[in-house]
Amino acid sequence: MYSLPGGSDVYENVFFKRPRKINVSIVAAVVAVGFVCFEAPLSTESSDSMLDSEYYSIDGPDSGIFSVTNYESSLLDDLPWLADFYESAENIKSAEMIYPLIAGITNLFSAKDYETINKILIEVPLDKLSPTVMVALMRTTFPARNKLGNWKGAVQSVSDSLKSRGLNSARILRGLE
Amino acid sequence: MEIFSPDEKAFSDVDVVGVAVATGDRCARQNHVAILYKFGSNIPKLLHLAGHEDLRSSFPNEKYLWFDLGESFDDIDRAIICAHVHKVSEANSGNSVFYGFDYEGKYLDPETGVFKSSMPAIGLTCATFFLEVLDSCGYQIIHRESWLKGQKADIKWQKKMIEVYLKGPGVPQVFLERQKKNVGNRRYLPEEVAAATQVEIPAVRGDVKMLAYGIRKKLKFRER
Repeated sequence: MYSLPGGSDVYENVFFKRPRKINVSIVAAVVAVGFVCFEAPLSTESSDSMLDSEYYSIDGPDSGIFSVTNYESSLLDDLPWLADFYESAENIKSAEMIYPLIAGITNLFSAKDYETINKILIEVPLDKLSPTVMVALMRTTFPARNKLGNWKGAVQSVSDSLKSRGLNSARILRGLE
Repeated sequence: MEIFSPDEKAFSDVDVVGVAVATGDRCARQNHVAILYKFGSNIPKLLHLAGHEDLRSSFPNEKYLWFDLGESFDDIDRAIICAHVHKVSEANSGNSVFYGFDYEGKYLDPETGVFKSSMPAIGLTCATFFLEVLDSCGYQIIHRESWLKGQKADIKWQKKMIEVYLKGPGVPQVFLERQKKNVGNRRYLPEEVAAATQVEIPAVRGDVKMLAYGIRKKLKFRER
């Protein structure tokens, strides 16, 4: 269960998201196999969206019938506010625009959900984020760095990413030692 | 550092986040510092601790002078600080922060922005509140140990403030006792904290003395 910025909770319903088109017999067979979620392909095109984490086909790569998601690592499915935020995070520069990220992380802190914050840090799609968003994420999580096993690795990755964009990472990340 | 009165330059011209200062007397000996910021609109607001249980998110008035953060803060810093100021403003009610002379820091829970009410009888000044907000997002603007403890003038002022703010009705005895014991603690002047935003951070006291003097001078001039 994860808390959302609005305060509502997401329960197991994410595990049972309904397929849009699916053969009933296939559903029955796969439900018997285990605790998984089905999603019928929306088209024949393969998706390379960052939202489609760890998909694989249950009938083999050529069947094209449907795929199964490993929800153990589907952070963005569990945190739709984060997925929404990442979708437009490439050009975010203002305080108002970074606030959903800060508010979302703060709500996770309030719920003492350090595990989810740790996952956010390890799965952060740096190439999709503006420097302001990257730094906001590190500064917002900095106070809990000792409780977040991935924090040091994440700040190093952010530092590398800032450098690769020609920015002075040491100055931008000052105080985050 | 350019210090503006609102008739020289409107508060709404602040570059996302800045500093507002005011004084309570003609000699600018009793001063006040607030965070000036614009979040979500072009309407500037102040976030400041105005007294005991008196945290305000308010609109600036003509009593304040203001200036932008200095060159050591860039666009990224300003956006992040502004968002965190808004977070602290949202996370605390007006009566949630107490007045007093605790000075070591970490009194705002940096994870949530909430003033740590679980810590008994902790109290802040306008200046230490300002420091706490910036600290909570990883901007340590002063080197706290470079301010001295036990200064005569500070002790005199702290005793006076206890009379003004903490001897009224409704202040718990335990709180009063703690703050009496805090007399002699380091005192960060509002204008010193304001000046620290204009130099390389974290600033030591010597870095900000002349700038703080400049702020006082401008406040005195304005009061006359």
